[in-house]
Amino acid sequence: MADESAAGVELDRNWLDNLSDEELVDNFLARSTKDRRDAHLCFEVIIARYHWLISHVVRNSRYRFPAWDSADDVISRVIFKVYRGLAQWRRQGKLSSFIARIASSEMIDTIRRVGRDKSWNPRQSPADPDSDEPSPVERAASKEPSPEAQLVARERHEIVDRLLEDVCRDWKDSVIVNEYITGNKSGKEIAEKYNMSEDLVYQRARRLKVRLMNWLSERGITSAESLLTSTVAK
Amino acid sequence: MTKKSEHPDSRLFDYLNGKTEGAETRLIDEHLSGCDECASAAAVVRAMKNEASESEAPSNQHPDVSELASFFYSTQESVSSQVAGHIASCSSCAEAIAQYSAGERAALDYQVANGTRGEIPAKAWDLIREWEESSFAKLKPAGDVINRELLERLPRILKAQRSHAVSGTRDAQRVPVLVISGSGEVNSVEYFEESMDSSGTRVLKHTEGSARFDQRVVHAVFDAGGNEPVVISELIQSDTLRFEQAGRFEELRRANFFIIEE
Repeated sequence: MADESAAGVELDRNWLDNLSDEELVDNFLARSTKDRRDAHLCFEVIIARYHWLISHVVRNSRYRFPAWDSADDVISRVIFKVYRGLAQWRRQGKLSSFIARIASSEMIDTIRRVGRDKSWNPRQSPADPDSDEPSPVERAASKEPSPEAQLVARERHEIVDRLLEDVCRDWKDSVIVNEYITGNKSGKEIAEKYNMSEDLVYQRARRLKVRLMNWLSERGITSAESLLTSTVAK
Repeated sequence: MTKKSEHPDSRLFDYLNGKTEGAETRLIDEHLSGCDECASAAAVVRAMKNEASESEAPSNQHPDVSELASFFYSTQESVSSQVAGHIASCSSCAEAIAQYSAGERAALDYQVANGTRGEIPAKAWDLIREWEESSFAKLKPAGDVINRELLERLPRILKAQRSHAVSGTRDAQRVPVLVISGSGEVNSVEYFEESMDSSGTRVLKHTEGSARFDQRVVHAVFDAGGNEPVVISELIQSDTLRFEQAGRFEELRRANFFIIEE
């Protein structure tokens, strides 16, 4: 068969099936501005290769979607975004990583949109709008702290934020600190959740403790109380 | 005199979360009672745990999904200490990182099987075709978008703006967008933070965050080598511009952005 790598030559599905990912994407990009039908054919072959991965990432996610946004809808949006973004694929990474990144981002985006939609609450049955009963919001006692207490709390948050920013160097540090501090998890559980080895988690924990101690000593902090006062760490 | 045991560096956090047992717990208890350094580290971690249980970041303070993705996939250390610090104390962003980690693991393990056939759903084709047919996000001659009078004045306006930006303290991440009248008067200069999202789309977010330019069209004009400059246009939605097609046109990096105020 003649060389079909250039745009303008009629494409054969079998020929496309035998191309590498890089060649296939090159063909897709070359044809996308000239012959949309051919570009679509190239894209069909790309998705034929990676549909299982997209479906796996979406359907095995830790996230659960509301009924009005099914996994099938998310998969369709991921495929659309792969189509739209293929020109951005940096060839030093695998195409599978690029596609999984888009799938994960789409899911996180979806869950954040759901979170912003206050009409959807997965834990609560819909309230009866005609009921005379006070709503849970109306029944709740005000928990607003005093302005002074808010100021103190804000200053404490700022100190802890600064400490965390200085101590954490990459995503592994950040999630290890998070799961130890807020998640009450063990090193083994962290390793499983984030696909790391236990050895790596404990090695990082050791380094984090050293950095934490250095951070405190550089600021003359010798107790938990002095850490959480507003006079330090400025 | 008893010999002091080794610092429980790697197991200290497990201990503080009640994840150690029997002899190990007793050993760490004994160590903490005799080692000021570790006792102080333990007290600080306990205080941070109390602090964390009382606070969770409001949803509008989370990093963008694009920032989270860049942070996860970056191979450099300290790419963003703010994002690192945020994730360390935010459960929902840590969950997002767990999602990226699971996706990346699946991607690295994935082998394309011979004869694999997965079809594109009809809904995905609908989205693709709708996007392709969209009048936005396509390169057009500037004359199709801008009236003749403004087109003639535009190079001078943009040049003046560029020299102003050079003499000022322009941040590489902040992109100025001119708000100009149909006859070419500059009414204001708005600043947008520039970033790339997870799919490589160029994203500009209005720094003011007031949504007052939502649903307005921003034009990006640049010289693509022809006689007339070309324009690509996008709507501002939720203070954000997303130049989906931009990746195909490296020239867009040299573009000047403006809003025409009628």
